[in-house]
Amino acid sequence: MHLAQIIQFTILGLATAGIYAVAASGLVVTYQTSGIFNFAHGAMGMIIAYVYWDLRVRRHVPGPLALVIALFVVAPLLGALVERLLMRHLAGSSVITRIVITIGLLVGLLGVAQVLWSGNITPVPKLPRFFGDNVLRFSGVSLPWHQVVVLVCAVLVAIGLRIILKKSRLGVAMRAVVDDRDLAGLNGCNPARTSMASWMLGSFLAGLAGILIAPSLGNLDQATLTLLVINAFAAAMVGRLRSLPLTFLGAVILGLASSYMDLIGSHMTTIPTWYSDVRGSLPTILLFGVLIFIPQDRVRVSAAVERLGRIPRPSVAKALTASAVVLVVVVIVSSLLTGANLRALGLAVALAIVMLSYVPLTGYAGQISLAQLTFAGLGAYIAVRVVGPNGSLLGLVVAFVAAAIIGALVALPALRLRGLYLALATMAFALVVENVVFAGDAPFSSDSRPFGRPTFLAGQHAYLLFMTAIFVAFGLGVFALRRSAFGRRLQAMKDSPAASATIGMNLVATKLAVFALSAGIAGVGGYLLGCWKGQAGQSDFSLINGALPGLAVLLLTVVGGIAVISGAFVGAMFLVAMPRLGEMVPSLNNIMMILPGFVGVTLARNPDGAVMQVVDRFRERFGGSATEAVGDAPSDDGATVEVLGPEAFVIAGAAPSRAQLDALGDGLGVTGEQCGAVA
Amino acid sequence: MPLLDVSDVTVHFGGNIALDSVALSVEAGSVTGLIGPNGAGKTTTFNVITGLQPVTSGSVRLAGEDMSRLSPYKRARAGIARTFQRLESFGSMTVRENVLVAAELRRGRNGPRPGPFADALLERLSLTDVAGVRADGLPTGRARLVEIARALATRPKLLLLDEPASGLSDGESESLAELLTELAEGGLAILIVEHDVPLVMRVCHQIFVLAFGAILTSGSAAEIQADTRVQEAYLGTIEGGG
Amino acid sequence: MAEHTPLLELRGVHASYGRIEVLHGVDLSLPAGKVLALLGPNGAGKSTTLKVLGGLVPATHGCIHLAGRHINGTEPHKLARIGIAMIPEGRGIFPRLTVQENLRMASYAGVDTATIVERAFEQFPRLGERRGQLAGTMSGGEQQMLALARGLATDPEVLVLDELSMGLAPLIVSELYELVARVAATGVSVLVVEQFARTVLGVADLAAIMAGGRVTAVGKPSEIEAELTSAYLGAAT
Repeated sequence: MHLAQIIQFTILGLATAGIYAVAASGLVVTYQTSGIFNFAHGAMGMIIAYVYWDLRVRRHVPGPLALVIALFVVAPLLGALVERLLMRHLAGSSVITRIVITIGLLVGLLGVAQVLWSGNITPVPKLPRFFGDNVLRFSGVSLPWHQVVVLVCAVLVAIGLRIILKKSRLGVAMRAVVDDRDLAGLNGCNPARTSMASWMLGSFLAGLAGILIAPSLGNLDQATLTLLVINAFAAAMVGRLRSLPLTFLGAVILGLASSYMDLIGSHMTTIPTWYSDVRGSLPTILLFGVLIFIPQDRVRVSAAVERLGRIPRPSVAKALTASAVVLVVVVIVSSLLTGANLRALGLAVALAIVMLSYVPLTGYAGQISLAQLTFAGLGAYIAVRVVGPNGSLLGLVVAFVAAAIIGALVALPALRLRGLYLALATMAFALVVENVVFAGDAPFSSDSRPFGRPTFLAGQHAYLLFMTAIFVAFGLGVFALRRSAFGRRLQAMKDSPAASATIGMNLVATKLAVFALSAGIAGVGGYLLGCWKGQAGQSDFSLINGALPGLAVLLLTVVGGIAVISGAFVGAMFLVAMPRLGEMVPSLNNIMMILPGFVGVTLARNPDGAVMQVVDRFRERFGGSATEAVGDAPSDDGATVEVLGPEAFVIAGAAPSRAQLDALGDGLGVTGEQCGAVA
Repeated sequence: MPLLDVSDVTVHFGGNIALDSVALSVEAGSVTGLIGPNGAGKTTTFNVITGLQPVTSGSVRLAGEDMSRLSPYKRARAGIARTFQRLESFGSMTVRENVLVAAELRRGRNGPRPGPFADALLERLSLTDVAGVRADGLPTGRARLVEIARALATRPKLLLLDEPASGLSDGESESLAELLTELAEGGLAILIVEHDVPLVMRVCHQIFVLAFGAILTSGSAAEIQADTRVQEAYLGTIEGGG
Repeated sequence: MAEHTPLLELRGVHASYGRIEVLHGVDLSLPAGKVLALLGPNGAGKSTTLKVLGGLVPATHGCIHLAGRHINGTEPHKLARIGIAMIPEGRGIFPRLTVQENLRMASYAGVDTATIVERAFEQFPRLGERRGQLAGTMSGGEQQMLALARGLATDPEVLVLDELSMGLAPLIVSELYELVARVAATGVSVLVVEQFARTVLGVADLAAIMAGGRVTAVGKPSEIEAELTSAYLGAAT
């Protein structure tokens, strides 16, 4: 290869790095100033890129003006709205709620984009490059002007952020609010306004990244554009979501690695599939790698007190009744349905099994996974490869075992991870599997791998009943688990890892077991789904693309109630019914596209899920006994985390313990004067 | 040989020294106190003994066996149990479940059955009436007793109590003192951090005073109360006001 | 009493964390220009009382007045702007900001940064030497100096100090309280919670003892001091 070629690919790599850097720094800024990792960052960038396209191409607004409106009006407005309507209410909420809220926002914004800019929209959405196809040439290197613009933008963002964060009082305040929100208030700074400013800045950076990256796509596609910005997660993670210089370094590594892989690829006579798959998944592979090697906090006494969710514990009689009801309802309803509606119902039952896998994992044990639908896909794929396209009940066993083993293998490196990092690691895993394994198998990648059923279950109604029976069986199993010693251990681990360890619980083994179990359940659900559809593949098990994206699966499980077995069933019905309703009643179509995301967003106010809420309402109205719970957790005053005093360090947070606060009866022995003397 | 032997433990947090060559020991069948002003390093000492806090140097031995490299759950299985100053109950579970989960983890071949054992502990700590109540709905005093019951459910050799009397009523405090004495008579070694100094003076056979991360002195209750250095550590020096 | 209209007054203040009430009617008044020490065992509600004053914990009942003005429910940043400078328990600093940036944050209370920096460095030359250093990497004593400097340079009406001595060596604690005494001499009112009771009684004009979420005694330091040893260490002496 020539030197000029190397220079050219280096510069192209740096240009790619520039986009990643812009996108990632926006993520870091919002995370650093609000403590919330914005999964919807990519979707916000996508929306703003579409607004820019809409203004410039569709409505013929002059380019510079369109740019100013998109970046300096729409983007900050979007950021401010998101902060005011959602993020401000998240103080003291659990990590799971925080993650699900931004995922809800992601799904919701994708819905909005679909409503505004989908179908047979004209002209075909496509963003021109800056300066068209003009190319800058020097000493044998030819460089599109667009890439020059990208590089300049990245440099300007780096300088601009440095000035804002280091030199302006607002920037200092943004960092101060992260360090100690309460103390910032005591200083006279209004933390809410500061947070809003940082969301506006983050939204601007997302929009800039979206606009810069969009032209490289050819025709615009909402999900792909969203995902491209998500690639920046890896760069942000190199900076541990904290350091902007390291984030830029991460972006450079990512950009150059991708570009050099292209350079090497251009010298291969035939490029092997694995090579292009790896090239395509480079950002997610890097993300997974960084997460695994990142230094982690050890088990420690919990920092902030979060509101603990409620985990219902129905009686045996109620569980059996509910099971019977589910079976009867499915039998009756299915007998009334045909064609597409029947297919939708079956899909919902299969998905309910996948969603059920969240109940022990997230509901009981508090572990977050964005990869449950991926485990479902892996179970389906491996089972169909092992037992072949002719149906066999053995497939269910294979799906369970294979998914469980993979679940445990994924959990192994991820064991040290908690909360957000665990969510990101499972997301990276999901994307890698999707792009390498699912996309690597020809019939599977085109959703046309045949799945057969055993002859005695060939009929639609028979198979639907069969799936329902399996759901009920797993449901009862999870119900029994909740009452077992293992179930208690899971819950204990969720409530206090430190106390669990000090009563002798092996946290590693416990996490491994619950990951394996829940991946196994998901795997069975996936295989059933494949068999129900007859042909299935990548888009059935995809995280963001596809008919039933994995993110929405998590979202609606949480909406139904993450710790509630019936919640999985209800959530699945919602998930399938909403688009189906939209198809049948076109006037509802738009609402149905937006609804799933924004239903998820309401969680901030109702973290126990819809089923529990309905039950509560019912009890309020008709008397019934209150739930077993005596009450909600007394919310402590979100402990101030950064305290350098020796003891407070490990206890993370010097705010007075609940104990200290209402503790008394100490032999102070002062009985003296009454306080009346004071007044 | 003492049951617990902490020798020469030093812990650094960044540039700050949290514990400076701390040495203390606890005998089986006795109650030992660890007192000192806020920020002296008492809870850090507990975290070191239970393995939640790695040490910069020094060692922790239980019945002569080196615990220093063991993870927290292995130390628990070796017989170390504790409660927490900032409550760490399993808030979403009932009181009985809190105790049961610990009893189940320590189920031995010939040990008691977890269910009846947990019920007996609840009875002993007068928690039977709230057995079915969610732990995070309890007032602090009772929640502390739940943590003690949970720790006892692991059938420990050594029990570490971090401010167990804080939040207790006078009556509850009284019965706690009785309970500690009974447990010690049964052979348990108890190390207690407590701000209710009169309580400590009453139940402890031996008291260690920690100040600024180092052991200031140790001795019997009478010796500690007479020590002016201890008074200064607690109340500050008068000339300090200048 | 009439000539001593209290600058800051709490009357029958109740406060709760969740459904657990921790203050059951606190009455406390701080005359202008005086130093009031609030003492009592752990868990008596001292820190919570201060948090109510700083606006960090809402009072569920009762009233709080600053210079005759009703300030219940006022947000922390507004309280700071009307003259309550509170240094919370732990370290009242931003560890990942430099010394200079910490002082810049103080300018939100109304005094401009240049003045704050000038006053702070004059009072604490050691901070001037470390202006570019991250506050979290300084020693505990220096961190408390920075916290105090922030409180002092903003011309507060009331300085509220929570456990200034936490984890500090006695000598440094003495130095800090000498400073508090000097500040009080300039007319600033000070409300201080401190575990080293004798140290703080050396600078206080008044002392109040809290127990069980109420103020149980108020008096001159000399009246209170006699009870301290037995209160803290049992009845040996």
